[in-house]
Amino acid sequence: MALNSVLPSLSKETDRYRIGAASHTVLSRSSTSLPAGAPRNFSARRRDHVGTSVCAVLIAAGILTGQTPANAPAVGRRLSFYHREGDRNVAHFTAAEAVPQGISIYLARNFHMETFREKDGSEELLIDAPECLFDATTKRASSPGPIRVRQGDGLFVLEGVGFQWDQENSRLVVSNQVHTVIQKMSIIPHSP
Amino acid sequence: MRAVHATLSFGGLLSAALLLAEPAGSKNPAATNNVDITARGPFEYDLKTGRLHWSENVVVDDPGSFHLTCEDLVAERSLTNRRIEVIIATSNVVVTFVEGGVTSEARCGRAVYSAATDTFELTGDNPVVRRLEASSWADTIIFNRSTGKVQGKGNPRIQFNAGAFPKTNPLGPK
Repeated sequence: MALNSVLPSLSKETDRYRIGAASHTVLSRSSTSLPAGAPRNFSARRRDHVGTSVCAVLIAAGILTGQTPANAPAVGRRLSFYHREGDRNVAHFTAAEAVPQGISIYLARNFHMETFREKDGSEELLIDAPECLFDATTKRASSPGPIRVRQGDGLFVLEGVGFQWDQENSRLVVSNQVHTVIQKMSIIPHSP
Repeated sequence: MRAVHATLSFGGLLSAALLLAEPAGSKNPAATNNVDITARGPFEYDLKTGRLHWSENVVVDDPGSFHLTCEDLVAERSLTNRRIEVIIATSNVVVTFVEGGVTSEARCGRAVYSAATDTFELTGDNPVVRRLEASSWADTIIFNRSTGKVQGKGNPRIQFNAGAFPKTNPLGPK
């Protein structure tokens, strides 16, 4: 059974939390699909071996990223990844499609992320990009392509080309062709 | 155009009395609710400090109010009330103010806008403010947008354009 035929049957929430288990299930099914007692040839055994190895790598990747299964990024048709500190959501990263590029690095399409204020949990910064690389370990996103940014409180919207988001330092760099529209209300003189 | 030079040698604060024809804050049909900022880039935003930084070929356009160009622009926003407190423009700063249909142009090396006082403080590169009736120089020029008043601090000098005065004015052309 193909991986793609399994993933759509999972709910989004399940997909989001169960990628490690889902992958393991797919590979296990391929090795147990033979009739009971049937002789297993070398290629089948080799496939089992490969499957086991891939499972080990996937499990190891989960460990290496330091994410608990409930916080592991979902891979395949979509990505949904929360960055949490204690009980608080610090940031949420999503993508319509995430293609693994290495351990914890994904090519994210239709990428969207938002950070949340520590004080009240409201949206702080929202970033959209058609495509970018996202590192689930460092929580960094970068792309040479277009980006759109919006401040949660409506202070400004910004468009540009080429960016890097550094979650650890809460720092955004937009490289080129920066166009910002700032709400004048945010800079009008203070009331006495 | 003939010009009358009035070099003022006050050591301290000079109230240059270059009052705008109409007080700032008057209704301007071209005014919008947004300020546009474009830059070649890069742009940096530090959420922890609230500092926004635009670089290279920066153009700030507040339609009907002012137009600013510079090479570097920093806006610092308050982390408590989330408003922008200070805007600092540096390197080849040119600001064109439009108030009540009157245009004035300022050139300097560094311009600092304070939202608390609604003032621009111009320093560096021999700052100058040019208006229809006069131009003024000083080490530091402070332009208050609320009152429309321009002040010069340190080595102030004003050059009045003679054509801007009526003939009955003693400073006008004979």
